[in-house]
Amino acid sequence: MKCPNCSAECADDAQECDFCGHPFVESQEPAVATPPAPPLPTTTSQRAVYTASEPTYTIPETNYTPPPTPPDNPYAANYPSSGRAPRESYRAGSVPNYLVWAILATLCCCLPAGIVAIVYAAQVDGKLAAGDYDGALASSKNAKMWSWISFGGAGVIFVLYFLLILMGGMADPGRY
Amino acid sequence: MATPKVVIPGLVIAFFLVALLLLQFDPNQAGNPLPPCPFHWLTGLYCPGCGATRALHALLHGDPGKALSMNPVFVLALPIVALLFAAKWLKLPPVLLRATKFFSDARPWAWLLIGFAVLRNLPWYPFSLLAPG
Repeated sequence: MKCPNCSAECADDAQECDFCGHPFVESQEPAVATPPAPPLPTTTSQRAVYTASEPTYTIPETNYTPPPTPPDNPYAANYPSSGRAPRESYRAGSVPNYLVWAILATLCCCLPAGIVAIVYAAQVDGKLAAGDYDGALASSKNAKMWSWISFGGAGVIFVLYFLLILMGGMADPGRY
Repeated sequence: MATPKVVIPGLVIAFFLVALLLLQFDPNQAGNPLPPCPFHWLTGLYCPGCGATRALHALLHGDPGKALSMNPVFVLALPIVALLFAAKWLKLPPVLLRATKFFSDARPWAWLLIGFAVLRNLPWYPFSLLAPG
């Protein structure tokens, strides 16, 4: 069976991905239940309803208090991109950290960009362990980007180097 | 990152290209066409990847001791990186899968590589062992 999240090969009877923990069976209850906020009644519409049903009765303006809204998901404002509230911790690997690419970029590309990539990769796992899913997503994006910067920079440098070698070789054919 | 259909052939081709170059040319000889580390060339400092070309050359010529002396972290990380790649695309036995999980936390790697980058530039024994050569 192939994991739909990280495309790792897993056992066919697995309940969740061995590698990233992605559940294979839909859970019965949604992971994060966000109660829909009820429409806030405005003062004027409230009064209109009251006047329609009881034309003689008027509420004094000072006595009106809006009905208390049920507690909304308090993290919705802070976590707009995935809507996943912080919890104790998220399973390592549920957000890709691009670790292999960061290691390869650090060890094979000789550029400081590889170090940046691996620091971001470490941030992904640190934030997942701390339950900060969206922070991990942001770091994951940066880890991927800096790995590519590292590979791209090294590619450009090495192509230029081989071009110079080639030209040097043509100018001095006795060298090789 | 990219799809396995692109990455796997790319990695295989890159590996054989590098192996071919290293069997053809000796990075220890002056005037070899293999690229030096641009970071070392610019700054005179060793980066975490310095010595990787010579280490790979030594490995391909059956000299693991010399390979370790050139870049120990690179040599030791090679099989782990191969394992992490394999876990992405192949069905691995549970033992290897546990090893994969053990190695896939990036935080120890970051400490290791940054520490290695700093320590191998210290000129004193035993840190001088970490410098290539």
